Order: sequence, then C-alpha cells, then structure tokens
Amino acid sequence: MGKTILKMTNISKSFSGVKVLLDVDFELEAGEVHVLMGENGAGKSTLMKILTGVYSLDAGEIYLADENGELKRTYIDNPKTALGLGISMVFQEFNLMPNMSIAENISIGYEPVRHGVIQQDSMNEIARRMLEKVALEVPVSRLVENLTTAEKQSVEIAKCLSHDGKILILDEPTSSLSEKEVRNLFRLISELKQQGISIVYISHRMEEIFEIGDRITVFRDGRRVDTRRVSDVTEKELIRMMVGTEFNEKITERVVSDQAEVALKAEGLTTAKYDVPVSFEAYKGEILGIFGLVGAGRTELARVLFGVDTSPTGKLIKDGVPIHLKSPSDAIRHRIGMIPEDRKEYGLVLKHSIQENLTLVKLRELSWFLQTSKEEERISDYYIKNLSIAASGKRQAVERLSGGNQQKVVISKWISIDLDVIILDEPTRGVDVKAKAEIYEIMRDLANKGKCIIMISSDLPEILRVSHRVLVMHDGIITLDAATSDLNKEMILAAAIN
Amino acid sequence: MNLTKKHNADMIRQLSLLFMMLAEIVIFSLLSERFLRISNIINVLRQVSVTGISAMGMFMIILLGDIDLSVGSMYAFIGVLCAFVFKATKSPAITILAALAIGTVIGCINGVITAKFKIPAFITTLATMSVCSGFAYILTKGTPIGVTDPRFTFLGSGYVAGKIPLPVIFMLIVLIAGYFFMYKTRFGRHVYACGGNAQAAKWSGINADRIKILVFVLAGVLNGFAAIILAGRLGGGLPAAGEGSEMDVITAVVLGGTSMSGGKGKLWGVLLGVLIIGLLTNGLTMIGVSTYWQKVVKGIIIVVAVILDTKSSQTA
Repeated sequence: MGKTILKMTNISKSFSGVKVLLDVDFELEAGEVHVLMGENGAGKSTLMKILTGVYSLDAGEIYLADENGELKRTYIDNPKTALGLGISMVFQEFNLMPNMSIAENISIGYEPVRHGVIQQDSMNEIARRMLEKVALEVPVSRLVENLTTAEKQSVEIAKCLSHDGKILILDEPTSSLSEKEVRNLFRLISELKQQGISIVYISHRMEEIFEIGDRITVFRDGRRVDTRRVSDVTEKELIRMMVGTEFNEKITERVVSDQAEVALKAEGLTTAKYDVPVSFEAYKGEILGIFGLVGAGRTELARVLFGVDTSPTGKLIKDGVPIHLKSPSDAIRHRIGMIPEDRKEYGLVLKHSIQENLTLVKLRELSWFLQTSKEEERISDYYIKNLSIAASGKRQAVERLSGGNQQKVVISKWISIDLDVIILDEPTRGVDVKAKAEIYEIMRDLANKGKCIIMISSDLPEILRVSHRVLVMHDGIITLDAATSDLNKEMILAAAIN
Repeated sequence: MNLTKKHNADMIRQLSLLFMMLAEIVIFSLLSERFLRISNIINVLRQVSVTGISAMGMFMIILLGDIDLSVGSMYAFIGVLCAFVFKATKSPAITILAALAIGTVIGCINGVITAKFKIPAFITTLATMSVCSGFAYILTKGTPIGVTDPRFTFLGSGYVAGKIPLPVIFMLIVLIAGYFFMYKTRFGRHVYACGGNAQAAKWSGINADRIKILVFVLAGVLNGFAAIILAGRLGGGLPAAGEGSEMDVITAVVLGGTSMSGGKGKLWGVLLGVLIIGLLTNGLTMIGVSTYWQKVVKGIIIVVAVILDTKSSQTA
C-alpha cells in the first residue's frame, strides 16, 4: 500500500449544540479503497462533507500531501477549494444538469473559454478523454436526462476525475445499480486504484466491502470506533463494532402450512413498461420476496397492485373476489398498503412531524371531525415506543430523522391501520444494520399474524433470510416461483439474469 | 433538543409579528393623534375585513404551494354582476347567493384547470384574472353601476349593535369557521399533507386533485363573499374595484409566516398579517403618504417576509 496522502486529526463538529463528530482521526493512503461504515447518523457523511468543504470544522486539523509527498496543514473552506486540491465526492443524488449534455456537465464551472466564448471542440475533447477513463462508451453530446442511473454515475465520476482528482469519495454508489452495473463499477474502481487514485467508499453492503475494500473505518455515534485491514476482520466483528453489541442475524423460520389461503392473486396483469401478462399468488401469513435486477419490472408490478398505475388487461383477485383499483385510495379500501422505495418522495411529508406523518393514513378511520388528537397522540406514542423510533418526540420533523427511523415512521403509518396485504418496496435501502433487523422482525411478526407480506428487494441475502417464498422477475416476466427453502443464491441470480 | 429549538423558532416568529403590530400602533399614534381613536380602529377593522375573508382562501391555496392572482378582478367582476342582479331582483338574498355561486364557478375553473391539466396556478389564475377583469369592463362599458339601496349597501357598511361593522363580524365568522376546518377536520390535515408532499399524500390514499379543486372552490366562494361586501361598501359594482387587492391578500398571508413552498403556516399568523397590513395602509394614509408610495412599501414588505421565511427554514 502507498504513502499516506491525507490525514485528518481530532476533527469535531456540532450542529446547533448537538455533537455529530467527536475527536475523529482519519487517514488515507495513495491508491487504496478505504471503506467507511456506520449506522446512519454515525458521522461518516459529516466527516466527508468537511473534507469536501461543504461543512466547516469546529476543531481539528487536515493535512494533505504536497507534490513531494510531504503532509502539509491544509484549510478547506469551500467545495471549490476541495476540487482544486483534487478532492471530490459523488453523492447518492447526482449533481448533474439533466437538460445539458455530458460534455457540458463535465466542464461545468470550468468551461474552456477563449475571448469569452466557449470552445465547444475542446470541451468535447476533454469529455471524451474523461469518458474513456471511466470506460463509458456514449457520445459526449448526449443529454444527461437520457442516460441510465449507472451511466449518470460514470459521468459524475468522470466529472470528478476531470479536476485531476486524487481523492474520490463514493457515497453508497451501488444502491441503485443492477448486478451487472455493480461489476462494471468495481472494475472501474480497481482501474482508478492502479492510477494511484484513493477512494473513500461509504457503504452498508457487507459483500461489497469485503470484495473491494482495502481498509475499513467504523463509526458509531460520532466517534471513530476502529480502523482495520479488511483482510483481518470478519462480518460479525464489523457488525459488533457498528452496533456496539453482539448481534445475530435471524433467519425466518419456514413453517410450511398446507392450508394457507390465497390473499392476493394476479391473473395476467400487465404494466406500462412491459407488455407481458404476469400471474402469481400471494398467501396469508407468508412473506413473499420478489427479486430481480433494477429495471426488471418489480416496482411497476407493485404500483399496479397498489392502484397507482392501472393494468389494461388481467384481473386482480383478493380473497377470491375480483377488485378494480384506480387509485391508492381504492387499494387502501381493499386493505392493501404499500411502503414505497423512495420514502422521501412518496412515503413522507418531510417537513411535517412524526405524528402528522404517522397518522396520515389512519385519519381515514377516525371521525372527520377530529376531536381525536388524543387518539392520534396515543397512536404516535405507541409506535415510537414499540418500533423504537429514535427521536426527540412525536413533534419532531421527520426530515431530521435518520434513514432507518424515517423508514420506521413509514412502516408505522401503514401498520397503524388494519391491512391484509402489505407491499414493501426495498424496505431496508439506506437503513442501518440494527434498524434492518428490526424491520425484518416487524415483517415476520405481521406474517405470523396472518398478513400477506410482499417484499421487493434487490438484496439477495435479504431475500434468502427473510422471505418464505421467492418470485424472480426478469424483463417483466416471472422467471422463478418457489419456496425459499428449495433455492440457493445461484439459482435465484440465474433466474434474474436469464 | 431539536424539538424545543424548532418550537422556539415558531414562537419567535409569532412574537415578532405581534411586536411588529405593536410597533406600528406606537409609531402611527405618535405621528397622528387621530390614529388611536376608537372610530379609526373600527375603521381599520372594517377595511381589513374584505382582505381577511379572502386571506382565508389564499391561506389554503398557498399552503398547497399554489397562488391565486385573480382575487382583485373577481371582486370587480362579481361586484358588477351583483349590482345587475340586485337591480333586476331587488332581493339581497338572491344577490348574495349569486355572488357565492359565481365565486364557486370561478374557483372551480381555477381548481380544475390547475389540478387536472397540471398547469401552474400562477398561469391559471393570471388567465382568470384577465378574463374577469375584461368582463367587468365589457358588462359596464367602463362606468360604475351605482346601487344606493340600503338593502344592498348594508352588507359593506352596516353596523351591528350600533358600533361594530357588519363586515368585521363576517370576517370573524369566516376565520373561526376556517380555524375549525383547518385544525379540527380531516380536510384541513389533508390540505397540509398535500401542500407538504402531494405525492406522499396520494400514496397515503388522499385524492390530492380533489383537495386542490376543493380548496380553489372554497377560496372562490370566500372571494365572492368578500366581493359583495366590497360592492356594498362602495355602493355598487365598479369595474376597477379591488384592483391589486391580491397583493394585499398575498402579502398578509406570507407575512403571517405561510411558506410559499407549501405545507407550512398557521392561521393565527395570517390574522396578524392581515391586521399588520391593514394598520399600515391606514396609518400611512393618516400621515399623508400617497397610495403610490404605499405600493412601494408593500412590495418591499413581501420580499423581506419571504427572505425571512427562507432564512428561518434554512437554519431551523
């Protein structure tokens, strides 16, 4: 491994009196992939935002290697300074202008200019060179809005490299990539390593960490717990470091019941994206996992089951009776609920309080004349306690909660009314390990109570651990439908790639 | 921690509004001895009641993250039509019903076009503003339709118990009913939710389009009500009545702390906003500031209010 090129010492930071980073040290070597791990709110993003000049530090020092490799005290007070020093970050939500071309995006803020006129040719040339580096074979004149998520990510990385990047920070880069795209990204990461670029890699996914990480630093409650070589550490150890206690991942018991009743039956439903009929059955008391690569049509199917989209053909049968859903409101009336993949977009009113969010669906069951604020408070208190939502109180705005706690609010919102079918789309995306386990427990509990749980997930270990039965989708078609106990990882993946 | 901070920010906001109102009262009473007289205060209240009634509707619209520019021209159009209706029927009841009905129709047009065709309310209501104003002039050929019958004018200039202007009573009824609707019914909660995140509201089983249409209809009804009160006070239908009134209404709502991006705001703040704008207009007139300069002052106030709102939501 190379020389140390970055050293951060005794970094502290607080927001309005709350300490989010406390005396944190961090070191980065040339050409290494350094993984940052920790629950949401543990401080890893804050540390990176200090490094990229988004936040200023309260205390501590940053040292960067100069041309001779000597560490020198450096002050980074805004993102532009960081870019100039070769430090850049690819956020989960990309910072690209969808209405502009790839070349324009890559050069943005640093356009090659002569006499105040943009030099289109040299701009395109720069972009072509950068795309080559990230192995993206797309014309540089293409508009960003016409790119796939993975391509956008490559453009974002190319943009970082164009600033002569030495340190590249990737924040959960694989969270919305398909299996194949993940492989491409990993190939790119190892090429960048060869070129001596250091990568800080923030992730929750264990398999990835062991695959590409060189070293790992674990954070908990704003402190650095430890930095280790990935080769010297086990998954269990990492989880213990993150959570602070021993922790055993439970696997759903697979009690196969012969007389399980069908809760929901789809007969030849089609989605807007794929014009192929889909049929399946979901039983009471089971967790049905739907696996597939990103874009396999799972969310589209779920949207039909929840009445957001309508299917021009086919039938949806609940408890033996055909139902017609024209809106989510219809679905809820038929006791079908859905926890969306993008909780910020579809699941929560971010600026409103926990209580207001939690009772939003429940309101329809309360009297229109709300003399029921007592009842609403009771409901909120109940779920905050039972799902252990970490918050300062039920009036706290949900935008201030961590991802895991936000997700628990969305789940509470749906289980506060009596549903028969609950669809969860990527229920643990961006959720830390502890909250993940708690969410699984809630799902198992609901299934034990006879609810039908449909879980969409791109996380294969999650599918294997949690579901009783698995459907695998590929290009809108169900390519596999079997009990989890009869399946293994390879069979599921094969069906998904098929 | 965050909870109390946030709570405090809200409190400070409310207190600063109260302080602003008291400051106005002190300053204007020093500059003009007539300002604090009971008769003038009652006058202020009567002047603000039209704004106050429309502010209730505007409050709901801005909570949804929308805007209504058609308020002033609705006053003119509905006022003119009501003058004709009264002349034809001589019935105050039919005239009031007509005002409310026309308000409903215009509100419905605003709501349906905005919600169903996904057109920004700014554009929709800009269009209705132009159409209503145009019709007001077409119907009157530009000349006022005077109605002196006290059965018409009492709505705007009548008194209850000898001293209290009737419009003030109307405004109080509207605001109290509005309070009930916004904070004690499911409807109010749905308005807040749709304004905060329309998609999440839809996914929670709320018909966001229907809420939007209903809000515009309610605002239309309130504007119709305000229009007949204004016509009563002016003594007939004037095609130029209420020109630029939307400015006062929007300023009051925004000054009261309602966020232009939707989902946040309190009716209590709106009431304070209405009073602050009313006292300002009256006070500036009292000390001899021209209406032209008043426009300049109000323009500055609205920008400052929005800047403060943006600032506070960034730090909160």
